[in-house]
Amino acid sequence: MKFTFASKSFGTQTILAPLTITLEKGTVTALMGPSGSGKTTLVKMIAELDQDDIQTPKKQLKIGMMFQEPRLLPWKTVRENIEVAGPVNDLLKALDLDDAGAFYPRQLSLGMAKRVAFARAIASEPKLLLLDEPFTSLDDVRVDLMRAMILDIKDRLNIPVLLTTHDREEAEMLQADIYTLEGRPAKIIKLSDA
Amino acid sequence: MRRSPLLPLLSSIALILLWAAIAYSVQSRYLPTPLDVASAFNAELESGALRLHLGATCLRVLGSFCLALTIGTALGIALGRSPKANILFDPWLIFSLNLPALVVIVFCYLWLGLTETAAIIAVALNKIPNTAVTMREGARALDPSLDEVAAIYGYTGWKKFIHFTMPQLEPFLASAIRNGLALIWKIVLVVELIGRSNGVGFQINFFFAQFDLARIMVYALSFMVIVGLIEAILIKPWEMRARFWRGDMQ
Repeated sequence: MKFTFASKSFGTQTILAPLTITLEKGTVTALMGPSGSGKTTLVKMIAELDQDDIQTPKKQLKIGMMFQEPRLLPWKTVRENIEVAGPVNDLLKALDLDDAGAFYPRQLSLGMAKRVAFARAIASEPKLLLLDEPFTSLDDVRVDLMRAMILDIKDRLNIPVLLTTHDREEAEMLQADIYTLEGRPAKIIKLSDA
Repeated sequence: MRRSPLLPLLSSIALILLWAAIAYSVQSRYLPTPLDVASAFNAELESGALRLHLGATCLRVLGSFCLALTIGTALGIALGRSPKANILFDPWLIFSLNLPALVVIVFCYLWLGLTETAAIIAVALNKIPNTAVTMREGARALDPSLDEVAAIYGYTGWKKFIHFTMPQLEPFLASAIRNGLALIWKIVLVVELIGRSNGVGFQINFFFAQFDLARIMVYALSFMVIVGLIEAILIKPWEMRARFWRGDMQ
């Protein structure tokens, strides 16, 4: 999947230079760069969340997305939050959340909430999975668990997975193509192939 | 602190005892005793008058309440979501909030005649601005980050309104309903007093002319009990459910 964008500005400040990024099916792509470099902005542009950035023709992909913050619906239980995207099936068990199905988001730790957000992102069996800093606030055991699930999903569904991270080692453990955003306005540079 | 269910009951009994003590000590026709009121209640109930007038008032409350809530909610959401509309219509809202209820009632009766429609519209017009203000605050408090979640998972239009918008508005709606009921039933009595030939307000006016304070209290207390029951059975449980996820009601 090839995404091409014109430059992106907020007010008078240009954040991103015109760029093209290709996401291969069955491959994890890691987007790195310092804080404020435009990683989240680029992920949102790919998700077509801003009407200004919608590509012509619109891709209309079925997307699963995990935002930097969990963004759970506080009036729904954990189970219901996942059902917003698709069937729960064995996701609660797989993510070590089997006792938390009836909990409300305010009753969860940040780590648990992030796992629920991950479950929601993959529940719809998306054609493109976008993960914005998925491993922050998670302990090592849960990071391993989620990493294994990401690898399983991209193989099983044969979909591209794009994630943002600050940790190169993390990206390498996912055998990811690594891109970085550098400069102001940021240009995208491919650092390595999987 | 855990609230004992007995305390409100004991407090109510204490109030009745205080009333009885004062009424028996002053022995005035302007302050009937609880027994006088009970006797008048029985007479009004047996004659069927109480049911007839309470029913008429309840229907007016229901009609104007639904009208005010529907229009006020739609207006409030529109103003909360559109800064331009808010700037344009905010002076209208301030004007209508400060317009005395009595003036609205008189104008409605003059324009539409002494009709049921005029009565219901007059009450609704008095409540719409309050509902709109409450719901405008609710619409302003909507979390924009959840709009992106809705967009990702294909929630648009009514589906988005039901699953994403309405739950965030529910606590504000509960507040509008609670305040609305309290305000509307008071205005309905004024509307009935001025221009209807039945209802609790009409009866209060009728017995006022006869200095029959026992019957005035019968109608006032009966209606207060009905409003209290609606609050306890319908509004409070719904409000608790609506606020539960915020963790500010256990």
